[in-house]
Amino acid sequence: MTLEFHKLTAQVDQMGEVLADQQEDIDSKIEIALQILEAHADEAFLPYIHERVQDAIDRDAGYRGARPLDEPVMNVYAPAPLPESATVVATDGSQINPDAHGPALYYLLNFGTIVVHHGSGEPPAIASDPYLFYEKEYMFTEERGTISTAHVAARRTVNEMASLAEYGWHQRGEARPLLTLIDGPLLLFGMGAEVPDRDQLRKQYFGAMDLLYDAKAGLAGYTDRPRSRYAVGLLHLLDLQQEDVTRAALANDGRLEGLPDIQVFGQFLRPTQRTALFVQMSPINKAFRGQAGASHEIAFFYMNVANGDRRPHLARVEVPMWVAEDRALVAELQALIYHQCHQVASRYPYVLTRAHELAIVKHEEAQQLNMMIRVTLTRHGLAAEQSEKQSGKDAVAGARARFEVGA
Amino acid sequence: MAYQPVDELDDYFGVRAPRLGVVTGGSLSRGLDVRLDPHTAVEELAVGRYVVVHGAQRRFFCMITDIGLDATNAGIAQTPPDVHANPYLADVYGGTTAFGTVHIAPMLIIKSDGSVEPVRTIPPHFREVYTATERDINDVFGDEDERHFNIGAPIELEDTQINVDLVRLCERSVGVFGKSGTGKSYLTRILLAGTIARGTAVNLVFDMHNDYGWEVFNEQRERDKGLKQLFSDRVAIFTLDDDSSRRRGVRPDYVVTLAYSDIQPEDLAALRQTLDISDTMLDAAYTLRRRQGRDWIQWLLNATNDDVEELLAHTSVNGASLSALTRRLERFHRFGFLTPQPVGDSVQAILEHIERGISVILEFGRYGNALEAYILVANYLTRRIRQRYVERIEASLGDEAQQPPQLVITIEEAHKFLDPLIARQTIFGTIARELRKYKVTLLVVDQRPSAIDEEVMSQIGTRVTALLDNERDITAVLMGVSGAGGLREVLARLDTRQQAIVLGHAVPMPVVIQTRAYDEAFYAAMGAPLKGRSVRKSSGGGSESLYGDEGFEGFG
Amino acid sequence: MAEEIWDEAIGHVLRAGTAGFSVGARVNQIGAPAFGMFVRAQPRTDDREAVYGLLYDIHIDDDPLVRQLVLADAVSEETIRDQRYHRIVPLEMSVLAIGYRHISGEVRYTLPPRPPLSLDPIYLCGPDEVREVASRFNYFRLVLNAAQVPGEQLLASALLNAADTLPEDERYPFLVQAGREAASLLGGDLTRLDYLLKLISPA
Repeated sequence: MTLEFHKLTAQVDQMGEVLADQQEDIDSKIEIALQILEAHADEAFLPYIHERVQDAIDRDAGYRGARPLDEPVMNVYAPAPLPESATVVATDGSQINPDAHGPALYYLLNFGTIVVHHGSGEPPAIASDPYLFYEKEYMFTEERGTISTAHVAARRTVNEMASLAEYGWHQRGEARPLLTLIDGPLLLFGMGAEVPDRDQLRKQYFGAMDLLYDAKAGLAGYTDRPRSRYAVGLLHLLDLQQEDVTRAALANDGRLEGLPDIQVFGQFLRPTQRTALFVQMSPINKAFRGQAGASHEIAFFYMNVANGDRRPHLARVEVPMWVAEDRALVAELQALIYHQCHQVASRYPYVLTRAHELAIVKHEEAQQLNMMIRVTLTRHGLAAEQSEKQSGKDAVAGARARFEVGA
Repeated sequence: MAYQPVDELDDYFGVRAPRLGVVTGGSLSRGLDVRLDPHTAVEELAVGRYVVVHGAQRRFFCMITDIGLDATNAGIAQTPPDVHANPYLADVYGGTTAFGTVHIAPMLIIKSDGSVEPVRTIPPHFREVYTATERDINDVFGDEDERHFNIGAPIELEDTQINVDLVRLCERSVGVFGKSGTGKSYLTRILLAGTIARGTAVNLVFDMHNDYGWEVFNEQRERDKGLKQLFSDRVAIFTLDDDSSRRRGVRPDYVVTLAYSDIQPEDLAALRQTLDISDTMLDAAYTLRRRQGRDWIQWLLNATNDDVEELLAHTSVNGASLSALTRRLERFHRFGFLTPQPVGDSVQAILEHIERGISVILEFGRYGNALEAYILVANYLTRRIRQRYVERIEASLGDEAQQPPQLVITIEEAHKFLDPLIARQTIFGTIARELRKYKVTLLVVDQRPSAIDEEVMSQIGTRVTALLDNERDITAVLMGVSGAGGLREVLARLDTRQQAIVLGHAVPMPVVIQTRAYDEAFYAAMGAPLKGRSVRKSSGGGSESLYGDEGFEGFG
Repeated sequence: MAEEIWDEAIGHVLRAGTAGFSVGARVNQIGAPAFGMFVRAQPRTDDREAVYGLLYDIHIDDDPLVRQLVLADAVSEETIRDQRYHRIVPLEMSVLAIGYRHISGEVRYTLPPRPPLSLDPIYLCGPDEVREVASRFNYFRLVLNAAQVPGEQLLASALLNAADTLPEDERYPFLVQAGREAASLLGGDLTRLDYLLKLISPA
């Protein structure tokens, strides 16, 4: 609890130096990246680029970089004029993880959704949907025993999409365009060995996407200040001679190692503009295409959501192919997203903030839930022991303040 | 009718006297402090007003003797709130943080059974103080009857009567005091009228400026009736100056003359100050009297140088003193009422009237302005009349029927007669000290009470005082009155006319009065038969207990 | 039938002590509760006393999102409406206890024997109740001496609120009486008294 600052001064100084060096480093890398980008900027290069990517894949070199969809790699695109009316739906989820020291074994998923009828002047509709899981089949897996936090997270992610899809579906008759927004990538990560029922979950996820597809919704996943290096990966590939493309060579980004995409695009992307559409060449995306259909393959672009005269603030927007193919829709989504970011000083979409707010479970609320559970257990004649460890934790973490006049 | 506590009276009459405040401190000797309630308007209070303190078991009749302002916090005086800009502040502060006070002097205690007693204790803290009502006053001062005579009303309670006990008034000497112009003769006339109307006493008035007998000019230049006009068969006007009397339309009943041969050196003693007669001159007079007999004055005035020489040779008389004495006596030439030999017996004439119950007013006419004449005559007559009274009373051996009536002698400019230097020597000093041993008392009218001998003052039982502004005069009047300190303020604030404080023997407690009007109604009342019922108070000790001790020895 | 603002609970007790309590409100608009109002913590069972108090603080917790919106230059109508209608304004009100209703039914002006319990509902007092509670001045000292409470402001507001429940011709005399009571309490501190009276004094 006591940070010995005097022990840190030297280290912090050094940090400054090193980061400065790194930035120098970065700056030169940006130079190189831009050179490569410029070199391949012309539309004519697109077939070449596709070839090079395909080649890398054929070589099984483990290429995880991006592939431009059909827009020149250095192009920038303005958004459509802000639609007069639209429907924006956003969902976020949060979880209470299973706690061995709690009154009973359970986990909670809570989803918050907001539906804005853009241009109507009406207050948005909001919803908060909690789900309590305590049955054996939820809490235990044969292989791994009690469900892990990661597993719960995976279930949450999937159910978030399901929730979004539900609400999106119900808005299908409302004003168009219909933007259904989710925080984070659309590609499903975290579905490893930890998640035994990942097939089931994936199915559920695709089912949700199907619903949105049917609704012709503009599904998008929003990532703020991404660290992704997909485009840089492409540049690295293009920087290599074809014959030099090996697994080893692609194990890192060579001259451009450590350079995030947004540092490159941030050099020329003006506020409201987006980059060209790309597709991430990852196995997961491949699986998406394979299992759900080409329409469900995930594309992405970067856009600058900063205010006019400010430093660039880039976000990555992922869209399923059905959306990507509709450039007009993309342009409208771009405008709507920018409008949402524009309302908040942090330049993060308002609806996502609200959805997050609606989803989040406060500590006191979690405590209260535990209390409720204890009461019901007692009522049903079950002993609700609180482990001593937990009581200790509660005491230390206790948020109950005393009433003091004037306080 | 016995006095009833306010509450029962309220039940009966449905009237509540407004509460003024509560007692917060004080003492028996200094008086009580009262903190006024917020709703009591300070401006509407006045010194001299009566209030009643409701003690636990008795009521305290008190007089307001001072009015003040106080605050719970001295800071209020330094930064007074701006009540003009904000009347709300006035309403809040007034009576709470900033409040009024009155200082009250307890005068009388009325017990729960209605009986009264003098003040010997005080109420405890926080007892309520109420304005005295007319009923309260009436119960103390009662109604007019054969003994009690209305002389005025308390301030602001015009329908109440302040009735003095005339018998007690005449039992002791009376003093009527006040600055010049405050209406002393007016007050005196009312008192005299009372005694005449009720027959309490017979009066002998030495009327210096024709204020009492016949028509009197008042301030409005109207003519008030004199005592003779009010009581034609009970008042006689004697005069020293017949011309003057007749000129004014008076038909005197007797013209008074004094014979030189009747004047004795003792008579001159009273004139020591006025005529500046030294001891040696008086000695000379005595010597002369012995040698020359009754006509000593005539002798002196007509003496030749040889006569004088011879006198000086054979006596211890001082020549200078003798000639000074002569010069003094020569002044008497002016006095037309002095005759060489007696012409009639003025003393006898006066006595005859007095014994028939007829009051005598002696007008001085033009001689009223001559102080020496006034003193000479007043002194002369009084000595002889009193002497006769002494003889008669001693001869009566206690038999009332044989005694002459109570006599009240009224003298003006009393301090000339009762100056400390001469008080012992004058007959008036003697009369004052004798109280009513010989049924003669004084009514002294004066504007310089501080110049009157203290011992004599202490024998003046009832004092009726109009406005006085000289500190020493005020002190003199209030000397010997318990709790009088508080009355100073009252005395100094009386109206210049028609207001007076009455205190002493003839009233149960000091009272500030608006003097009764001397008008047609008064005239009618003097002529009218008595309407009042008999003395009200009878429970407990009755009126006597009101006045306390019988053995009144004076204020001193 | 229109419901009066004192018919519905304005919030519930968050924390309580003998001296007063905190009210958490899920009211979206700070319309009804106001500084200086008389409120009542209503116990849920009959065996405890209703506690009366004066509302002396209303604050809105620091809300980062609202701050962000305020800073941003173009907030859409839907966003504004969202804030107004949906964002659960984390409103917290502080109440100073001034008395309680004894089991016998009379209002007593000492500190309540027991503080309200968590989640007891809080009601604004209606005009009749305000008249009753404000009719006695015993609580003045408590208000003026409470630590860290703007005593003069609070008392003045409470009295003005109470006066409003009286018929017009009774208002001024009531305020004068109240002013005098205050004068006797603050006699030693004229600056404070003057300040208080100026706050109370009717226009």
